[in-house]
Amino acid sequence: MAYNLFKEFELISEKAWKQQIQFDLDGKDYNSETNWTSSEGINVKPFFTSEYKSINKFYIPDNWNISQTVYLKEESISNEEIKKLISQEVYDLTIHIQRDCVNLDLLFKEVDLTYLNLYFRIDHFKESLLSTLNNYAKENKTNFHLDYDLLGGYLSTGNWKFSYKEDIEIFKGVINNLSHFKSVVQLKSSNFQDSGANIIQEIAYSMSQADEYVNLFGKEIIKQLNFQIAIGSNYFFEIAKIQTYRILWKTISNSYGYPINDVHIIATPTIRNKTIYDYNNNIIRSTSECMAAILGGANSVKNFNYDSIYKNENEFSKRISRNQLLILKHECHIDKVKNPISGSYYISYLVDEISKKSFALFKELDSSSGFLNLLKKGILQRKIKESAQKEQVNFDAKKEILVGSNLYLNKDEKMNGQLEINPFPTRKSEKTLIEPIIKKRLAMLIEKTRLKNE
Amino acid sequence: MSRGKFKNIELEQLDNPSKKLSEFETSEGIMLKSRYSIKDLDKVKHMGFGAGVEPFLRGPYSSMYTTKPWTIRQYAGFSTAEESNDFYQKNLKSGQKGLSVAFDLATHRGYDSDHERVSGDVGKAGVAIDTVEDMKILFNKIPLDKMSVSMTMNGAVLPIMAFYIVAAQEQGINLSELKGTIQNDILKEYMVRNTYIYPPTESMRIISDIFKFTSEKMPKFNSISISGYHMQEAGATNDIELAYTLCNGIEYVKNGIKSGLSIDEFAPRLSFFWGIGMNHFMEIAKLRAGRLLWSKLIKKFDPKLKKSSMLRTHCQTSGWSLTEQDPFNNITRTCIEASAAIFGGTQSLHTNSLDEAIALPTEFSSRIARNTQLHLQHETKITKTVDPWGGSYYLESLTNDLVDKAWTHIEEIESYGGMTKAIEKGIPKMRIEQSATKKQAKIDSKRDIIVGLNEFKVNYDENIQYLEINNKKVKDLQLKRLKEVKESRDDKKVQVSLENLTSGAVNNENLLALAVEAAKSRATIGEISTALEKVFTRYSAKINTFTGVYSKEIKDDSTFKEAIDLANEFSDLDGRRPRILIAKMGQDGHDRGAKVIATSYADLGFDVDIGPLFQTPQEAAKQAIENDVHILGISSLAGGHKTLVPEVIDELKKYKREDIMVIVGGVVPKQDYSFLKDKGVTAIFGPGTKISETAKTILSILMNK
Repeated sequence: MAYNLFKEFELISEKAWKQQIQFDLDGKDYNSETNWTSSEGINVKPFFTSEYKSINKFYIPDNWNISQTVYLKEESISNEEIKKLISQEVYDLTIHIQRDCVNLDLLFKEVDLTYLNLYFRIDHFKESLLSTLNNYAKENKTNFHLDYDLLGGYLSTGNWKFSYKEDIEIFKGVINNLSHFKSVVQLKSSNFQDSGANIIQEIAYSMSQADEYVNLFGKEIIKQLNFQIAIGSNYFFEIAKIQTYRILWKTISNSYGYPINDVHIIATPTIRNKTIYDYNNNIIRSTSECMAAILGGANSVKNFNYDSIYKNENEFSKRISRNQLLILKHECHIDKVKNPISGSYYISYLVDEISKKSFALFKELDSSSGFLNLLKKGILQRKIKESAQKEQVNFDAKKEILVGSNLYLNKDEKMNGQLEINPFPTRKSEKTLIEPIIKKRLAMLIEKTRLKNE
Repeated sequence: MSRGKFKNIELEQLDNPSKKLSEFETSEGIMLKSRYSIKDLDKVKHMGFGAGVEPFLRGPYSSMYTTKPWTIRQYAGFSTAEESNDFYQKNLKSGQKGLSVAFDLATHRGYDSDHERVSGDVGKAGVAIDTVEDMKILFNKIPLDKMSVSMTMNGAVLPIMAFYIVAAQEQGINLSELKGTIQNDILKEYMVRNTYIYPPTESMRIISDIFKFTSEKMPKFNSISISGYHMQEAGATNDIELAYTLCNGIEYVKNGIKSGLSIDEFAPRLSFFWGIGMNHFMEIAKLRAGRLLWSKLIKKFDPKLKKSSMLRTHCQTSGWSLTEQDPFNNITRTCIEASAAIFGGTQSLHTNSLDEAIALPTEFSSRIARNTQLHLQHETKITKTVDPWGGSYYLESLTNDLVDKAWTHIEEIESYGGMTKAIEKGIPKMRIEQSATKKQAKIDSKRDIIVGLNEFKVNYDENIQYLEINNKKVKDLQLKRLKEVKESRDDKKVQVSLENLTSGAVNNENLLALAVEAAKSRATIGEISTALEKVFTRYSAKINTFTGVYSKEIKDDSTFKEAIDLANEFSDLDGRRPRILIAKMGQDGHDRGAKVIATSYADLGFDVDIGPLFQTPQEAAKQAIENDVHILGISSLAGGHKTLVPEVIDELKKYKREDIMVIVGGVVPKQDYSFLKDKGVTAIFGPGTKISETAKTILSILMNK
């Protein structure tokens, strides 16, 4: 079309738009009616225009993969399972090895490993096991990663496995032994999100933790570090969050002379907002969360099985959660264009705000005492608790809503008798070196009371 | 290690990946690049527009959901007025502000429940209404001055509006207080759905009468809801849905002006209704493009009020995109679609239930559907700013492309002299059917993937209980009440009011005013419709067929080739090509499925006959016998199969033509399969069965006989 269809219409300035809203508000207050401040202290205005496009360069990978976990059983059985998952387009696999040895030739029989990402979660770092894996990685075209987060384990349990010194030495050995792995650290940022940290804290703490890895294990680890992050329900903030991870990690890694533009990010829906009542809502929640993960530019998305907080792992919910991702991949075309977020005024604004604020907090942590010391002093734990508590208060006051849990309840719903696993995991009361950072669902208290009163 | 080493470090910028990836062509024929940049905005002509002022690119209202979220409006249809009323009262108590009425097919087509042509249709897919007495029960204890009522009615719009008005008057309510919406969008009925009664020109006359009546007496009532939803459901691509719906809107506007109204007298009360499918950003772009184009189109009529050129809309997630297979997948689909409608800035929204592909929702499934909207409204914070995707290079570019595509279609329709003329030529209907056939072929050839349907299938059935309507019970109740009304009314008065309607149709009097008088005298929906039919006649559509669309899209598919080979083999054996009659019985006008099957079978080498719409079982059987077909294929989408299919088989038996193989396709719940097979149906093909596969099945059975 050569001519401009809309030339008879006038463009609107920021000022005119604001005036129009004030006119339409008919005397009500502009700021309180239309502006919203998030729990991170980020102000969201009723509209954003081309004045907000300071950040336009985003990194969104060419592809995102569907991810799922396989618990290693007998090799031939697990081999079948892996092949089945590949036929379902699951190209990122976490393989959880709970034993001391594995026959990889059998496990990967007739499996084309070249396009798979395999993350090994290993319970016992036996040298023979490590060298089996490393040799296989060396002799075949593979993308092997270690799914391990030494510091994450420490902060979530409160203890080192053996001792600070020993753990560090062991892991140094592991790094050496897995020289043909693409990465050896999967930093679990989800620890922070799932325990109630806000987005700014989550990013700053994760970066601080990543920086601690560099301090402890040297610059080489920069290239061998992935982030595993949890996606919450604040859709656009979560989209912006993923880009902020990339910006901050690029900044930090660059300062060490190893700029990483394309850090590998594994995203998974948060457990914080998942509920046992109206559990089908968990499917709805994880749909928007996985969508945000894809649009935000995660490399790999591992979905949440909607019933996993109260039921044993089962084929049905595993399939539904995989299908959610398959639908996102094949039916709604949201990834045909890789960068829908580029140019969006609102997302640009959010990335700008979140990256500035989280980098400022990161710098603050860095100049005070560093990650492990902050944990030792209990400062990070306290900050997270404060944030979680604030959210809990809002939830109890119904300012934060979980549909079916604190609002729009289905009063006839009974959950007693349906719980196969305890949805309120309790911690062993053992002495810990530091206060651990514990994952906590918002609806737990309400659910306990409701179960009692059923 | 040193503390504070990051003190002077500034944030880095990311680099965009630059690898060239392949482009993707959408069903609309828009080429999508793998990445968009600011350069793509060069061609975009709408940058810099806002919300709340013309041309409403970013929303009809200036602050959108930040001050008032969209209305959650779930459409519900129950078979009797009593049941519907119960349901409405329950919802009222839980704070719902608006209600939505679905009518049964007999009512849509202006037949009383005792008419011989509607034996399988009474109470199916909605509530049966015969007289004002039914309407009074429907709205019993519902204050019509406070409750906004949305009625999906297009064909029998006069009697239904009249019943609604009289029911309100008899509640003691002033007409000026009535608020709500009537769909009243007859033009799209000639393209899809087919629930019309009279020919296009006469129907347009009825619409002007309604405009005049309501703009004078019912200022709060939306006299039309211009609907693209049904086009999308029938397989139209988004550019077609967008353009044809706006063309219909313009046709109504011209019609209103022709009848003497000024643009500002009725344009502010026009509202739209979009379908929201799975192509997420395309749907967002459609809502934005629609507002731009409507502003542009209305400008010609020189409105003085801002509201006249403001497109307000309702949206419904797509039923077409849902699958019977693995129904829990539908929760995800509906959620993705709902979020697109919201990002596009809809005013109200219906989200489908996971079983809506096959039946009316149950309490369980409608709760999940409703929770989807509640989640998006309360949990995701997407309401906090207007048009959150605004500025996105991709979305703005796509909005622009869609505007251009739609504008080309709009100009084409204008070149025929407007939509009424284009409809008379059968053009829009054919375009939509072609687009539906193409879509089907893309699915059958797996170029479009639908999870659980043509890929990632599972081999077991989810045990979902579908809601079933007892057709006979509803009918008995309607007949009883119809008899009571007829016995207690003043027949003479009824006769006079009906004669007035007939002469009013000739003499250009306001037909809604006359229909109100007839309703008061307790004339039935059938009587009122017939009184007008005497002058207007009943419309029957020409059947246009086309060939080659299906085969073009699927020619490399192996099943397609096998089916063709089998059809040839059959001809060699039988001496003539396999011949099939595709029939639609009852008042169900959803003929997209039938048309797609017909053209695809023709491409596979069948001789295909298509029966006229709205056949009785007797007529369908007769046509099958006269045409000496091998197969009678019945397409059923509105739940009449359990009544109509056994009747057609009995009829074939009467003529000793049991050899004609009967197959059923369409929306048939699995729980009914054994019933139909017991009655003599050879094969049943549920939604999503690959067409070439069905042909193979049929041919193999025929050849084994």
